[in-house]
Amino acid sequence: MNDLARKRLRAALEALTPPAEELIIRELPDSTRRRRLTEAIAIAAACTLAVAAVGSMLWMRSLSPASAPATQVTPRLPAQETPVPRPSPSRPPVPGVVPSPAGRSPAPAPRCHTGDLSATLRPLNSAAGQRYAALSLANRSGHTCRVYGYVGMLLLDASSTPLPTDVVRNANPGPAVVSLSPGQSAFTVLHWTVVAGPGESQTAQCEPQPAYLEITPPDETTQLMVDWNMQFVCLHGRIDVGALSPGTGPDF
Amino acid sequence: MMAISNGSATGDMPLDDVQFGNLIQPLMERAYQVAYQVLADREAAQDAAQEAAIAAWRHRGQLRGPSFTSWFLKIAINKARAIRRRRWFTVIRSTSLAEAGRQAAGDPLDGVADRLDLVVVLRRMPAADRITLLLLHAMDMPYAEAAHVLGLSERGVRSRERRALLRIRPLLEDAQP
Repeated sequence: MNDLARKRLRAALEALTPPAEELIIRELPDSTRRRRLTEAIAIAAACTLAVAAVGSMLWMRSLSPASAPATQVTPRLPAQETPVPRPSPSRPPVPGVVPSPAGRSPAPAPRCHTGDLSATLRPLNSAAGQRYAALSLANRSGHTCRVYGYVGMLLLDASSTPLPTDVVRNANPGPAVVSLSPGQSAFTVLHWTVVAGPGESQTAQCEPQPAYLEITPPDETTQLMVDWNMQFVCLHGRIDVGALSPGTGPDF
Repeated sequence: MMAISNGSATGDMPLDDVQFGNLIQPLMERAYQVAYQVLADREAAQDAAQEAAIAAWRHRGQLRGPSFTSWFLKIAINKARAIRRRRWFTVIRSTSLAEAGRQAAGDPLDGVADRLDLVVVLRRMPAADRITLLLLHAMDMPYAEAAHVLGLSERGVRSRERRALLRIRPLLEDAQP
């Protein structure tokens, strides 16, 4: 390898990773002295807090049909008390745990679980580099259930390897409780671009071709898979998505 | 909890939290880069780097391997793989619009078309190959340290590097002056 090749390789390797947003170590669990004992206490405390947090989340969910948006509950620094959904400046004002707009309805339908739903992905009309598709979730169970909020998505290639995916939630339409009788559907429109952005190939395809889309229904932790029979997704897999609305979506 | 399989012990380093923070903070970006190759997701990779920092702090008495950097990056890879196995990271992720704007603000490098093809090819490689190149050719890590991070022998690292370079050779050879 000559110097130019070396430089080029280095630049490409550095371009592989998007810039990080937060990599500050906030707080380390304890100090060096009294390490073993404090560590044991910290671990025990973290476990207790985690149990308490999960308990209170379950309790809060049972109170209201409008539950918190599904968010990664990744263990952060043990000093943090509860697995709080990560705040994001752009996230639309999603009501976390509030009564549903319908007020105090007598017996709210249970949340639709992944197993209750089937997903369909349908391409819509495209325009000048912009692509749209309707993603609908149909209630295939024998009972009424409800969905509230946004789906999670991950693009996969033909060997089911995750591809860069950047799901951006639109504030409009915002989350609303959608009650689904058996057979009924809720939908959202996906939007993405096939025009390469900065940091992507301007001459060749910007991102790898997806083969599947993995969908996480709101508040669920398991996924549905649908085939992705459309083009690749530029801007590092950025897909704009609204909250689920009643129906199967527009015809074109 | 943490798998350290090879490398020689450098001994118990009695670090306090300030010293430790000073050691770790400059390595967080690298840990994030390495984790990103496994996870292909910014937030999940950031989580992996955070978790690695905490694990490293907890296990600071067991520091081993040829260097602190390789020890820490090895933990970061393990954390990223653990997150990947959990598959929790497939749950909704949201990105700030501000940051999307930043991405749209333009690439600092010029004459990028060929380099970007290279990026596409690199993205399609197995994560392990990508990490190998990243460690050797972007982070300038010696083979012995890369071997520790990857849990391979030095020969193993060299042959993986050779294989990965072979795949991108056509794109690199364009760079002949």
